[in-house]
Amino acid sequence: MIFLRKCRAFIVKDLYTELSYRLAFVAQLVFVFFMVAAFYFFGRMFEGLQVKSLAPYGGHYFPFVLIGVAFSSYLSTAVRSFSDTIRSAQVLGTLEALLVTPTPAGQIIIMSTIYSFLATSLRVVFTLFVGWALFDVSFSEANWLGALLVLLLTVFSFSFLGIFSASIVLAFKRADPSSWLVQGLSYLLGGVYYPVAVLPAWGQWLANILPITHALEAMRMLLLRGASLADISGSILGLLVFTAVAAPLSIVTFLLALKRVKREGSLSHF
Amino acid sequence: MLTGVSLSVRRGSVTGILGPNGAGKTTLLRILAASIIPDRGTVTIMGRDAVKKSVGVRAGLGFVLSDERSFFWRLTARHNLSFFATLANLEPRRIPPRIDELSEVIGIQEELDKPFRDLSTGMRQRLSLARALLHDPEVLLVDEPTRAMDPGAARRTRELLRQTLAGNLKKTILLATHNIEEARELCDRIAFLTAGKISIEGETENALKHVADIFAEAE
Repeated sequence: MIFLRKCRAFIVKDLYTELSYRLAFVAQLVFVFFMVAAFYFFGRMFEGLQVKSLAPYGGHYFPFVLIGVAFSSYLSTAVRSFSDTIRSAQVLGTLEALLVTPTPAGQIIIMSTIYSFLATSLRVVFTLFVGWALFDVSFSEANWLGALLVLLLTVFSFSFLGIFSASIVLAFKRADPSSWLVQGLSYLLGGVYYPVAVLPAWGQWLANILPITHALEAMRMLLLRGASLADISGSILGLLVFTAVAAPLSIVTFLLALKRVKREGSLSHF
Repeated sequence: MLTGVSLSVRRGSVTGILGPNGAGKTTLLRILAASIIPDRGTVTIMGRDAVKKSVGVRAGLGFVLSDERSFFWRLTARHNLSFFATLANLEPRRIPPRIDELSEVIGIQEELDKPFRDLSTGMRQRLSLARALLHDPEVLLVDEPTRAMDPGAARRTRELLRQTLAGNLKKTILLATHNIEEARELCDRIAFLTAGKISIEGETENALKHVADIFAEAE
């Protein structure tokens, strides 16, 4: 209960801050519209063509890429929000004030990112809405409950990439190069803009290690083909295995980084 | 860096941590607040180990940071206090009356609904005091409370510390300062730090005679 109250306090605090920059959020929604429209017209190049690699997803490029760009934003949010939270608190000077409260540091870092995930969810819903309302993407067969469950698992597994990245920022006071590597590989190999099937064999092998590959595969099957959870059990297993490996690694790394800065006394340095 | 610092503080007293810049005053307060882990030694606050039970210890102490950037600038003073009150484990129904009560005690009623960025340096420091008192801690760690204040604001802040926080509310206060007059006015006892070691410790008047000698020698 106390944890939920604190989560709410972080959300309210971030919402007030966001509302003080009124135009920024509107501008983001306008950008989403432009991006969706651009992919729609890009997809029209493939009209009338039978693209074999798109067949498992219904054969059309635009619905395929719409889901790719919408849900890949959770990866960016997860990877960036934890480290951005720490970095901005270091720079703004609020980090020490937060960490001398009787709330454990780990909870503070997690709660600081909730608003980013909520804002991302709003953008994802808006992206899908624009695709459906203005560009005729059909979700008539969608398994929404399954999609919600996979989304929760996706956010959970992506978050450990973010916690690892936050550890690097905390310890070394600079952006984490590994987060750029993970994002770069995910957008190159994870099936965001094109099916993984078009990649060479080594690329497909690497894609299987990335959580985004499994998340997007599952989401497309659930939303475009109305698949059941049993149908996408392979993707769910991929996300679970990634989580099982990443969770202990990232948590241990974060605790070590926190201990290091507390020993150095560099908590508020930037 | 601090070396071999050993200090006991009586409940309800005001203890000054005095010393030149870089002597280790703020580091000592951060160790007490469990935001720095010492390489060796123990820190016990109200019978609790500040290293092993840091979250529990922090529930019983308030840290008045000297950094005036430690608030959220685009939020009002009230929103800032409400946010930190939640982190300090106050129940939601207790937060608004606690903020009203403290704002009256600290003298920031008129400023509560202004954005933090619009507050003067003196008011920001008072807000920092209010934040540290939200959960009614027994111990207050106060770091350079009058730094960057004009003489009038500094005098009012010292009165607040001496009369209200130490006098009426009976808080145990550790005050880091490099201002000898401030220490004389506020503190019952003094610990003087030089290069990370306590070189003088005792009742304020006696200790300050030796402190003055050290400063004179340095000149």
